[in-house]
Amino acid sequence: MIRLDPGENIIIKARKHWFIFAIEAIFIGIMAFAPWFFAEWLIPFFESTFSFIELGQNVDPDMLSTALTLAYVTWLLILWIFLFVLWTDYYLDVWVVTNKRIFDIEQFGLFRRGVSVFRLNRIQDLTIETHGLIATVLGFGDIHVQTAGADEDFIMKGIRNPVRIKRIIHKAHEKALKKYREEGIV
Amino acid sequence: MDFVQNLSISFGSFDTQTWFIALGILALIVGLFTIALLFHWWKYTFTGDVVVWPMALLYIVGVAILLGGATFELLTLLGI
Repeated sequence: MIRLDPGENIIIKARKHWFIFAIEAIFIGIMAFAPWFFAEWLIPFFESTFSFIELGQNVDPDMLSTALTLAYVTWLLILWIFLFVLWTDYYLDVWVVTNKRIFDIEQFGLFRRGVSVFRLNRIQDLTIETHGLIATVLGFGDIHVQTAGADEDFIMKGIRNPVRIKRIIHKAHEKALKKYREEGIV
Repeated sequence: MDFVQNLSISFGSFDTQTWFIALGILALIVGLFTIALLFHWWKYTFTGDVVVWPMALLYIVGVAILLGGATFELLTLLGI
């Protein structure tokens, strides 16, 4: 997925906090129960949309129950897949810090992906931001990295333990600078 | 509930074959998504990302139960 240079090794992989995914998963959970609450409105809608459902005719409770279960199971199947697409989106968003570079890998749903790479010696400023009570209590926030030459900051949102990640990046940055100075590159 | 008691279902315009084609299309879509997800998990994870394979197993078990459930309900509905 990423190719490392000779002598380059991974120091840390930083992902978003689980809470970011949990919020999306809770929404999917609510959607799973939604048909129970909205059935009274949904059934007339389906009746007007699909000609094979007719209101006010002879009632066969078994068939009705089976048909509704079939519709509900199909709905759950769609939500189940969507949940794992969201999880993939969450899990494949990762920052990889090596002893030479930082890879900012961002997954956008399925089949869309962006990878930005910058060298540690190009880092000019590191900032962390924590927004709100939950982020403060659970310990997640955003890391902004300003690099030389780039118009915009690299931002990793909702990263877990940003203080530790910042410290690790800072230490790796110092080491990289020292090494480059010794080699006469900087 | 009143709305349940006043509802009936007729399958005049949907014969057995049509229902199975619909189920087949659903299974095909699920299959394509499954391949896409497995591809991403295989291609874009690192060697140490062991959490992805239990999640893959969970996904497949869930899909098997739900798709199996949908098939069972359809067969019941059609009286097969």
